[in-house]
Amino acid sequence: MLSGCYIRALWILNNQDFVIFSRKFPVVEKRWHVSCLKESSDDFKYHMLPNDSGFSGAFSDRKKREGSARGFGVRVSQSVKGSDSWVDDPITRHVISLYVNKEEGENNLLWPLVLHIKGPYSILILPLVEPRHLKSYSRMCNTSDCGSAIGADESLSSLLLDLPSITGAFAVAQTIGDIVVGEAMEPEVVVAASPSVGGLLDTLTGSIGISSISARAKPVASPVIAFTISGTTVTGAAMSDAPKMGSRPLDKDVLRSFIASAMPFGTPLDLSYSNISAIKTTGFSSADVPPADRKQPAWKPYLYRGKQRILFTIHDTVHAAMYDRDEIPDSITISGQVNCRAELEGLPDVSLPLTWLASARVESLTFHPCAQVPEHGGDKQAITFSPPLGNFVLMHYQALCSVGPPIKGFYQLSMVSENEGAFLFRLSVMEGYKIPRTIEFCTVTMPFPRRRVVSFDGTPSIGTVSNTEHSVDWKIITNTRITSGKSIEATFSGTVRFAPWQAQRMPPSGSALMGDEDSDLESESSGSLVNVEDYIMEKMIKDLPAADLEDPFNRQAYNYATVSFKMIGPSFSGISIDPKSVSIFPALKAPIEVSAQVTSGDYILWNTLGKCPVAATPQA
Amino acid sequence: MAGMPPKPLSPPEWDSLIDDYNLDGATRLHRWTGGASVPDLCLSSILRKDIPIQLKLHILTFLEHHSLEDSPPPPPFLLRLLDALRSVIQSPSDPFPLKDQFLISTTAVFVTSLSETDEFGGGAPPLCGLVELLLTIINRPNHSLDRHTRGVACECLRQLELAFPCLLSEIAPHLWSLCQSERTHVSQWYVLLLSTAVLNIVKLKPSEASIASISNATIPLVPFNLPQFLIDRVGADFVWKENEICYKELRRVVAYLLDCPQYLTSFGVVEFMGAIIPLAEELELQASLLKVQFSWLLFTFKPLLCHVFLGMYVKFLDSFEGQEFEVASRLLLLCKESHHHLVFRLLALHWMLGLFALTVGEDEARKRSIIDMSLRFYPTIFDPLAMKALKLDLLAYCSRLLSDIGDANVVKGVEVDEVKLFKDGLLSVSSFKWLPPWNTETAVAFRTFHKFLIGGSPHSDSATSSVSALTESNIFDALQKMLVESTSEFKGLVPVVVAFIDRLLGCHKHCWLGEHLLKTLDKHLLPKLNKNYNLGSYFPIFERISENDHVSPSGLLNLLLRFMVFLVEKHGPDNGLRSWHHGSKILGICRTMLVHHHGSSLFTGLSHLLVSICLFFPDLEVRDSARFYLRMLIGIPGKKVKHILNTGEQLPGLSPSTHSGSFFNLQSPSIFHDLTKSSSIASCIYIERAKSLLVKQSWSLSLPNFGTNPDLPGFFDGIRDNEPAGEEQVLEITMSGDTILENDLPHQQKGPLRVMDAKNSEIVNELRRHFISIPDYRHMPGLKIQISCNLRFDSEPLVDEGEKYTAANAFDREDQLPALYAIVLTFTSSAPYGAISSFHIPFLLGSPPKSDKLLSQADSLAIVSVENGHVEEESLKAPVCIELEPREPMPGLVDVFIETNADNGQVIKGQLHSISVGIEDMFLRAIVPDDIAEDDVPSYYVNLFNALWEACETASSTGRETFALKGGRGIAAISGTRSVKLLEVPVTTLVEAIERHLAPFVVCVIGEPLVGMVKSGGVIKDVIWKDSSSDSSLDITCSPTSARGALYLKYFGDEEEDDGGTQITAGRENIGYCHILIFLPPRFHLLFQLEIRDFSTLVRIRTDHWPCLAYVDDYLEALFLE
Repeated sequence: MLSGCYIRALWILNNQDFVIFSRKFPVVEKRWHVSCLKESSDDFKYHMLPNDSGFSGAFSDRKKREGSARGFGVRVSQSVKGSDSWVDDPITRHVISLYVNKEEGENNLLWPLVLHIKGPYSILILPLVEPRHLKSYSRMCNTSDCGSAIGADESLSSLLLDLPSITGAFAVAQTIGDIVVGEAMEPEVVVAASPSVGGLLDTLTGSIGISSISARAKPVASPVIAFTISGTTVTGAAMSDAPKMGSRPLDKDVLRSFIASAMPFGTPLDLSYSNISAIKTTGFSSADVPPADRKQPAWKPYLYRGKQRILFTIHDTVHAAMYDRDEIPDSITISGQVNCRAELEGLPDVSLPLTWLASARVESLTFHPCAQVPEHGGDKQAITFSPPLGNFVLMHYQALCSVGPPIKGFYQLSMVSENEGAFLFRLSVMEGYKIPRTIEFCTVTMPFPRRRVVSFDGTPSIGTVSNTEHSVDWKIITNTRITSGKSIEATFSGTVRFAPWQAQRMPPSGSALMGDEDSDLESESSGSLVNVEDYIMEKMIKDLPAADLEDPFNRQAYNYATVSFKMIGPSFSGISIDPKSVSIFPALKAPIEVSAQVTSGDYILWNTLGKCPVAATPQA
Repeated sequence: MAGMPPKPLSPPEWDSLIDDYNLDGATRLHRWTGGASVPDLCLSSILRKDIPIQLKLHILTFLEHHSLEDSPPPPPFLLRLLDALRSVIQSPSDPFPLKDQFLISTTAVFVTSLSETDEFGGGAPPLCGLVELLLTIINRPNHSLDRHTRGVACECLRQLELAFPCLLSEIAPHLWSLCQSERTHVSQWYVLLLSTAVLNIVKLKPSEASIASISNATIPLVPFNLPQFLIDRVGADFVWKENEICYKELRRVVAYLLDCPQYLTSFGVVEFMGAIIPLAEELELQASLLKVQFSWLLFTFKPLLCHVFLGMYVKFLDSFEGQEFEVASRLLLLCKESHHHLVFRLLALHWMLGLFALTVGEDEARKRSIIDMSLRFYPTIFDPLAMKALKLDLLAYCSRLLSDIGDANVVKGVEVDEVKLFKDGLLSVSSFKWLPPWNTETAVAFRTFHKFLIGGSPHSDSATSSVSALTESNIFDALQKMLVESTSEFKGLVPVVVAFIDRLLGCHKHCWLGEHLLKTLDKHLLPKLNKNYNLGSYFPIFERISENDHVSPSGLLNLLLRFMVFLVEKHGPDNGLRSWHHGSKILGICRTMLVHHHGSSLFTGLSHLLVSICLFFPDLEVRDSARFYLRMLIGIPGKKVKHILNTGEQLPGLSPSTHSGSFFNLQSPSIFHDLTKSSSIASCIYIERAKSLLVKQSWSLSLPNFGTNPDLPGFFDGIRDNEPAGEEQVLEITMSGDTILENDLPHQQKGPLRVMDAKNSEIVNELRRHFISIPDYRHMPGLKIQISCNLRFDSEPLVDEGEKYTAANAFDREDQLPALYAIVLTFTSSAPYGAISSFHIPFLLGSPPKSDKLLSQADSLAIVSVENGHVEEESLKAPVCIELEPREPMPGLVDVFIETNADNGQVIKGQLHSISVGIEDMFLRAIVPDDIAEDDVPSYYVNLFNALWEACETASSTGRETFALKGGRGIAAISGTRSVKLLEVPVTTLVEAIERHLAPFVVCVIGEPLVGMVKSGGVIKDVIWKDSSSDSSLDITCSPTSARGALYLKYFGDEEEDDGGTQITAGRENIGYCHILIFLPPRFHLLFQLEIRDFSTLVRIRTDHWPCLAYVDDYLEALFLE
């Protein structure tokens, strides 16, 4: 039984499918070899790991077969037996298989290869499994039947449950991905004065300061200032995470030294990039004495010394789908996190009551591993945690909005001709919000990814409007302002004109999925023009590229407006921390600062006059 | 071992070498190393001072990689490596990263090179050295500067322990004490080392002697020796449990370890749990203890820790009983947490499904608790499509559980049934209905259809009882409705629906589902479709319907017919291409039906459709193809058609053709090879007369002037052009003076006037009337005679020896019989038969070999009725009709040539046996002019008979008369000949023979007894009947010739005949007369007057073509005397 996470090899490919970095772990490979020898049979035997050229060949073969680097994911008519999409599971876009040296007649199947795409790089990691797992998967993708029934046939689910190494490999892949594109960073912690404070290295250098031993090298890597909210949330335009990818070449030495420390034998033991690079760059001195009474956790190689304080930042992200239709309820959810930075000497425990749990509509709450989780139930919950160094996410939560949506109203867009649309917004911002909040910005964007905006008419009741090639942006609130508890009403009507529609070339993946419809012969005017909208709609969707399985819906198929905003002030989710109730043990005096901010995630106003995606909301 | 130190490589060389190695493996290393040992090369470079540390690290990694190659470095190298390592470790100037990496790489090389099976192959001393070195490093707990190196050394030891279990068993007590004293952050590595070592001890149970107690070390840490266990490879009986103290100690160790996870990193916890769970199992620890210690893992936001918890949960399912809901809820929340990378959210759903599969089983309560959660499985709007797909899977799973449980369910006040789950769930991807078919939503929706559909009938389920249950289920019903509705509304879905059905059809277990869906579409979708150009998009569905033999084609044919009507109506100059396009598509369906359908249900509808297309479709090509298909449908039996039309795909239920290859293949060296010689073709392909000749004609009279060339009129070519004749006529007329010049009116069919008596003129008129209706073959199509034949061929020579029919089934046999296609028979003859048109047979099946036929008859008796067998026989013959246009009525031979295709497309050419043509083939009824009413035909014949009889009198007064033929350009004269023949046959035999062979030519029957006899026979009809009372008068008036003929015979006839005739006439009573008029093409006549007595008959013969008498004699003998 292999319960751990062992990695046989990893490869990093660039967007031309060339291996630009590879690492094999002989110790793990030896294990695989031994277990293969035990289970060896006619149709199963040990194969050496492919070299880089063989691997990149196999990868681009799969890409050809499966339409894209990730693949189809679900079984489509192009899927062939033996391929990943034959298994008919979306996760095969992430856990892939490759056939190596197929032309030599040896069916060398590599599975499970964890595929993580970051920037221009594809990171593939091959964790160790048992031969039976590989055989099972091979059966699954070679079955001649029509696909497994849920919970009844041999399924990928059972395999994945059985293989923590896949989960671990993903965590490794993500970390490596962040490193190769230079995004390995810590969560943001906001102090009232400055927008954010630095990370672990700041802490280290700040605390040690000039007084540090001269022999110690100054950290080379400067602390990461830029930040993104971890996860997939889309932040406001002002903070748009402009792609940094591709601009810098892969720093192989950084990667090698990270791998050497994080998983020297292919067994990952510590993936904290900041800790590892701190150890690499600063090392330890005789001044770093271990604590006398208790063990120093592995995730806290250094202890803080200096001025003590604790900072908390509550960060709500609001996701909303606003329909303004009677038959479809709006959906508003909040995901968020509490970030923390505890600059405390020694190894103290911090205790934090979760008194707000009673009132906030929290659906889920998960914690940093350093936290002692209270026995669930009851209102008097509290968590106790022993904080690591630097910024860290103390907890994540999912919640429903405890107040009304911050931006309400409707958006209507109606195509009056093929190249001209009339639109109308009627919005009310912060309606029903009693407590004043600081709004840094609030922008409404009408994206038209498939049309080129030529011009627009109309003046909003408030704010300014500008347009880019593919969108019209309405900045309702441009400068930071503090709401007074009264709602802001905003209307904006006008017309937007587009360049004439040009049929776009189908992307190859789309056309691959397309049936052999003889479009020119079928071109259907279907009688008189029923309606301009329908006509344009029909025209537009004809060469609509398919959405990725990672998208929630085909964004290009709909008309909608997105709202982005950032507010400072109490959270919408109802989560709050009272500085007075935070206690530290052993007791010490440290100021506690709490800040909260709310940003928008997917905040969408659907065109009331058009089609919109929906999902059933169970009447719970 | 290199005898000479290898030439050192420069840093850039190293870089290139390593790059080369990574790219293509060890094969290209030679040009860098020059044959030197690669590990040695590495070692020497690492020890050099001038190489930058980064490169040294790189070389160390390369050394690791290289150790994966097939040939492990020998033990001496390991020693050298160890020495080098020692020197680096002890060097104060080498930086820690190099030391760390050197430790790691050395350990890796040791692990991969050493094999415990052969006592480390002499590698034990270096291994001991390495362990000793590592132990020295870790034996300084809490030491500051090298703390990280200590961690690395711990990990190296752990890897060695993992590779060689129980390597460290004897020093476990030291490890424990080290672990307890270490307080820096590297304590994790000590903990992991300890837990791994303890686990191996517990698992492998080395002998008691070596580890007496874990708290009291009996063996010093260094020097290190391989434990006896590793050398002996014998596990002792484990005595911890019996030895209370040891057991307690061990529990203490575990208890100590259980407190550690809080200090470990996430991955550290993973490793730790990997050791602690089997340990807990082995030591039979309370699972509740684990539960308390590790529950927090579930509530961290690290998916990996959740997974580790699940691993433990699965191990101790019983202990965690009651916690299922909590675990499932947590997983559900995990998948909702949008800050996680999508893959973890997907994994969470998979884990949940995996857990369900593990835990649910047949437990009703657990099923219900899952159903209670079903509302939480609904996809939400912002879930990525991949998650929507998996959540829909969960709903499909619930729907299966619901159908298992059966009764109605109420979840949180909402009634839940499968259909509701299905419809609600599908809402999240409902845009599949209008988005283009290649969209992801569509793929997800149809994937869900599939999951819901087969949920009740998984592949692993061998029972077939679920079939009816599934078809009757609500979900199936709802799904079908949804498919029909969506497809009728959105034609874009057609390719997807087709792919979906194909997928089901391709599955051995669920092909019936696909068929069922096709039937549903056939039944419900087809009537909904509008008959307009949009219908074109639905053809892929039609294609599937037409391919499936289990779906009745009538609905589709009906629809296509109406679509065809629509196309015909809409056809105009602008949309010719469209019409062609759709027409071709319709034909495509027809073709598919021809290929795939059995049974006659297809025939009527399809032929109707094809006929309509042939007749009405505006496009020529479509019409042509339709005609082609129609001919195939009618002319060629089913299986052969399938083979012809099949363009390569394997047909279901149709065994691969025994005579392999379709028409589209290239010709192959063939089994017909020997048949290309014409002689052998005749031995297996037969053409035979349908009705054999009475006279086996072995000769034919050939007169020198009987030109076969129509351009050279022969002596007997009685027809002349009437132009020269006209001149004659003119002359004649001039001479006679009272004729009217009429040759400027060539179309007026009147002969030259001549002075003759009333009777003669009546005769002449009668003859004129007759001759004018005879076509002049020189200027127009002549009269034709038809000879019916049959064509058949033996299949035996056409089938390989090995492929002889083995199947017992007659039906199969027909399939296996070879066939000939597109047979063209061409005919030539030396006899004057004019040009003979060729004959075409589209298809002919070979007849089975004789022996086999007998067998088959015996075999098939049980199943096939005799009639069936007969029909089958008949179907193996093709009727052939040879049409001759004789220039002379004479027997002859017709040579037959064949040109045809075999099954494999090979062309067969050759001559068959000739067909003999007898005189009786020339017998035709006289042509009746158009102005004769039907009722008057018999009397016309009688009159004609009489006239001809008269005219064929040798000295007839009409002898010099000429008669114009049809068209007016040719004229003919009659020069008669007479003959008699006495037949000594009883009257009954005679009448029978006449009825059988000459019935159409009888024009008159005279004499009461004879009339009675003939009438009762019923074969001869529509002739003039005359009774005996009028006999005498007839003799005088209507048939004077007979009397005079008899008389004449007496005077001038030849003696013999005369004698016979008189004898007979004298000896027997005359029963009656029978007059027979035979027309011989192109323009001759043969007249019989039968004077019938009881036992003999006198046949008086007259003809205007005397050579035929030569055959008539034989013919009459054959006719009556056999």
